[in-house]
Parts: sequence; structure tokens; C-alpha cells
Amino acid sequence: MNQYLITTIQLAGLGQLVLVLASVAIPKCLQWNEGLAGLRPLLRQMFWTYALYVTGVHIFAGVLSLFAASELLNGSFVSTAVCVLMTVWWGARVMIQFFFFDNSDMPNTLFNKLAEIGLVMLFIFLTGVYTWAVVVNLN
Amino acid sequence: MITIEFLVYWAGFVLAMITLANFIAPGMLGYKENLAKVDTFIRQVFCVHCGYTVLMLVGMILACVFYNAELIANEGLAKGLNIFLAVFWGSRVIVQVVFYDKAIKKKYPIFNVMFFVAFAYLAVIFTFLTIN
Repeated sequence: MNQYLITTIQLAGLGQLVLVLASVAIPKCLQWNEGLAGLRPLLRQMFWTYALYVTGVHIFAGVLSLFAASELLNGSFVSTAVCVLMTVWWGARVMIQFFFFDNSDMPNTLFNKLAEIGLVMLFIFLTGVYTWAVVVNLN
Repeated sequence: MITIEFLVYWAGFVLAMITLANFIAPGMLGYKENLAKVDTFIRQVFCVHCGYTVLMLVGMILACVFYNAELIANEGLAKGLNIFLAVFWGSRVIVQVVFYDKAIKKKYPIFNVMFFVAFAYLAVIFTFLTIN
């Protein structure tokens, strides 16, 4: 069972790295530059800094999951904690998508709609994978 | 005597102070008034990123307090975590010096110095743990 989960975690890692690559297109698709024009410089800079750090966590989790999947399942305190953090991270992201984001301001294109469906499926998959990893670590 | 364990616990305290600052900054910098000028979606993305930044910081505090020994041992996952934290805080020092608005830094010089020292301390500690 663990070998199956290791492969699934590696897929989750790949998914997060693909998300990082897709993130490069997000500011353009959602017209962030135009949207941020009304903000004072510091808040605009903070927006970009926070966005980069969130992307940094995705790179970290992606690399870790792709290249050290078995380490994430070694049952140690650290591996369990990392898996718990990623479960909370992606679980919260699913909740945010459904209960917080108001997409009515988002540019209404077919590409954006398909991208949203793809992203939500990825977030649910990632939440499931890391939850499973937490359960295996705790047993 | 100052030990590496103490310095990592202290990093946890510094991270807690930075987390606290994330709750003070919105009022001080007028987030609400400023964000009222932009589209709802941009405002929500900003809030979500703020939330995730706090989540990251809480994760780092817990790592410094509860995985102190593992971070110092610098093996396996802890090594990966140390590298990530060294890059994260090292880049945060550069962002503070090069990228952030000079007018605001001039307006709040004490906060600017405090943030710089805090980020630099974290960058040095986690770099030390990585290469030690």
C-alpha cells in the first residue's frame, strides 16, 4: 500500500510543480497589474511578495513530494507535521475557493472557467493525498 | 552560555513577533481603505495571501519550538526545511532592502530596522543550520 501512496505523493509533487508553472500565467489571465493599479506602492509590493512566498511553499512541497516521498511517510514527528501542514494548506484552499472567493470580477473567459475546474480538482486531490499520508504516518 | 538550541528557540520568538506584526500592519498601513479601491477579487486574493503567510509563520514557529533538535540535527526532511527557510528569509532581507517602498521605510525607520534585523537573524540562523 505504501508504494502506491509513494507514487501518489510523487504525483501530488508533480501537480504542485505544474501549478507553479501555471502560476506564471495567473497574473496575466486575471489582469493583476490593472487591478493593483489603485493600490498604494507598499501594498502592491506586499501583494507580489506574498504571492511569491506562497509560490515558494508550493515549490518546496512539490520538490519534497516528488523527490522525497518516502521520507514523508517515515512516521517521524517532522514528516507527520509537514503532511498535516500540507493537508491544512490545501484543505483551506478548497474551502476558500467555494466559500470565500467571489469570481464575478474575474475575466469571464472559457480558459479561466476550465482553469478554475482544473485547479479545484487539483486542490481536492492534494488535500486527499496529504490527509492519507497523515493517516499512514499516525498508524 | 548561548547554545544553538537557544538560538533556534529565539528564532521561534522572532517569528512570533513577525506574526504579531501581521495583525498590527492592517490598521497601521490602512489596508481597509486602500483595498476598498480595488476589485473584490484582487482584495480577496490579497487577504488569502495574508492568511497563508500567517499559516506559514505559525508552521515555522512550531518547527523552531517542537522540532528544535531535528532542525539542528539537519538530516532528512529537516535538512530540506532548513534550506527552504534559509532561502525564504534570505530573499526576505533582499526584498526589504531593494523592493519595498522607500517612502514608507523613511516614514517608519524604527520598524524598518527592526524588520531588517529580524529577517537577517532568521536568514543567518537557518543558513548556519543548513551548512553546519
